[in-house]
Amino acid sequence: MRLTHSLWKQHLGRMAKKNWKAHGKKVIQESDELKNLEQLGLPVIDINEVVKDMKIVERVKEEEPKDLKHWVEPPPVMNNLHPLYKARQCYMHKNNTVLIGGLDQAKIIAKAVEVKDGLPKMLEEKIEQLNVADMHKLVKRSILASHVFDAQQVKLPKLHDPSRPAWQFPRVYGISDQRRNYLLCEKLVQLCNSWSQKSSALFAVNNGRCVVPIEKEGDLIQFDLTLNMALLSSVPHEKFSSQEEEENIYKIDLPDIYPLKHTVSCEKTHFYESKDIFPVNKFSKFSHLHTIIIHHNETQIKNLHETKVLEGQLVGRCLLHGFAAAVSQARQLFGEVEKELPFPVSIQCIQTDGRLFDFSIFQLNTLDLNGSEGMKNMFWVLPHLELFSLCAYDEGRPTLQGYNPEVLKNFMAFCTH
Amino acid sequence: MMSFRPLVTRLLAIKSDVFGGISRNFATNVDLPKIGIGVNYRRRIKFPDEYTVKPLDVQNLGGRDPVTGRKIVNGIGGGIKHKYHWVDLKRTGPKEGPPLVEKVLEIIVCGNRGAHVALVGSGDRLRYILASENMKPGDLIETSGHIPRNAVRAKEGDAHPLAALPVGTVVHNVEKFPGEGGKYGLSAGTFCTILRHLGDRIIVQLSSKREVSLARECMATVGRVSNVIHNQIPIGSAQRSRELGNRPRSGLWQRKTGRHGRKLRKLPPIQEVNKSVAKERKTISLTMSLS
Repeated sequence: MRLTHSLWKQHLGRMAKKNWKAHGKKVIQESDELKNLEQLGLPVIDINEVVKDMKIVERVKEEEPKDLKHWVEPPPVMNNLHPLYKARQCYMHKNNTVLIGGLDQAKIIAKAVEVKDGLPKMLEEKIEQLNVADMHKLVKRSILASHVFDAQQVKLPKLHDPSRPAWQFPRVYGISDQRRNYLLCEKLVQLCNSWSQKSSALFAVNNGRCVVPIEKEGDLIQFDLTLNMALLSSVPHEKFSSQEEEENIYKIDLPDIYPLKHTVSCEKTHFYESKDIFPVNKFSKFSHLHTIIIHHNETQIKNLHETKVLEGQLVGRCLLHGFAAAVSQARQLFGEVEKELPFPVSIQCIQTDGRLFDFSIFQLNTLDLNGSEGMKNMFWVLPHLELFSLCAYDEGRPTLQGYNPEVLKNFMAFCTH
Repeated sequence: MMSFRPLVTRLLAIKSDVFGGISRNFATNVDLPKIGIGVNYRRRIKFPDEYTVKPLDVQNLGGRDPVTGRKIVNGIGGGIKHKYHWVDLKRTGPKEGPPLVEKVLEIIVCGNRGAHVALVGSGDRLRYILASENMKPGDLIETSGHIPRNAVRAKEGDAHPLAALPVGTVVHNVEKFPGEGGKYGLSAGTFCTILRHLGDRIIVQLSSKREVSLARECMATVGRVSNVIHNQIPIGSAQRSRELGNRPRSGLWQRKTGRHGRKLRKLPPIQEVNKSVAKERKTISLTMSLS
């Protein structure tokens, strides 16, 4: 009599399970039965057709009561019932947009040409005559104050070395680019005020919003820009162009960006409000935009495809800001103007990222932006000017190297023109 | 009847928070999907509704099936996350009239593939395509769906139907079925060759030297895919391999078994690529559950 359990050499349970797994799936093979039946003339009816009308009554599930205490309004559905929906598509140009076609594309949108290398002659003469020798020390102090000495400490963007992709750099803390640019411009403008009583810098608007829709070649383009600092004056600028330059306009062609269209890399949307917003009250004494200062904040201004923003793209941004401000100003002065303006509207524009400065002037001669013939608008720009080469803590010491006195001269000339 | 699933495993069934699966052991009947049929178990990308040029965020899968959460492929995990450039593999051009002209704006090194990616623009539209070998910013590339009587002079970067290109042309991004986007010749440095015409089919040699018979209207782009030396660059170090998303692996191989090492096989016959009308086969699964 065997008292112990007999041990099997193979685990039969596992064998049985594998059997079920292997043979548990049966593929229904098609047989010739149906064909044979049809040949014999016998009707073949699918069982599902017979059963179709028979309904299975399912027990209705009780709906759980809604939790109204924590109810959150669902986000608006972006369809044609949305209040801001318009059938016509609009190309939005926001403050942080940069164009993929760079300066060329900006010139085509604004129908502007560069009539001369550098700034207009009258401004160049003024810059040369300017004597600001005693101000440089103060400017250097301002640079250090805005770049190094300010108390703000925030997380700066992560450092990344493409040649060592896995290396994690220690996180850097410091002054954010927005604050740094704001402080520097604020201090430079204050210095202009103290140096010259004639300066328009006495009256300024910070972060004024400028919204202006334009029509070009059947497209609706809307600019929604922030003028980080707009210096105001009570009288408009006199025109910067000379007689010769005005004649030359007709000889210079607009650039060609074939096969791209002038609206490439602009955000397309059907949800917008087409309106005109000028940053200053119409009835104010100082309602003319004299100079606009715009900031290039590296953390905010990026290409859509996230590659590096090029110099030409930044100059193009400068041009379009000047253009939008000029159009907005013209609409405020003359109302809804279609083509020729009674007199050209000029805006001076300074763009900075805290170190590099772009000085430019945009003169709006016409609002007829279609085609490339006829009257065009004018644009003068200086190449990038470096304010300094290094301003940081170097081996623990606050250092400012490579200070360029030209920037202050240009800045002063612009503010006091 | 007794249940074949042991009591212990039923009690210990653990639900994973992230993937929502059940614990795996010999008792659970798990059907894993097949690998090697074109499904990516390295990364998952949430594609928006509309095509965009904005680089997309990537979610690493670590060899897991995105639906069930089960591990399908070993040796995949970690790695540096690179943003995904949504490449448009469809080069559709007008069947008559002038071709579609696009300008190459930038050549971008993509971390999710060996080939480089070209940002091209035409009119209002920006998109990414696979960059060909000698493509550089400023080039103008054409796409045409027209099949002329005489073969078109092939220019690198241009896309034409297979029948429009001369025999012997080196092409990439070749479609399997007309209008469905390129399938052959997408990796860095790869290319296909148009061998001959056979009736209304075109015999194309793939980069694996296999021959395939395709329809005349299938689009193909002239030239080789960019980054030709990609397969010649050794990974170099274990750390670099980990950065690429490869987990440590055993290099075990045995002599004499006949399993390991390079195989030299005869080329299979020309495969005629056609959409087969698959019969719908019903399957029933037999189980022991009595509930």
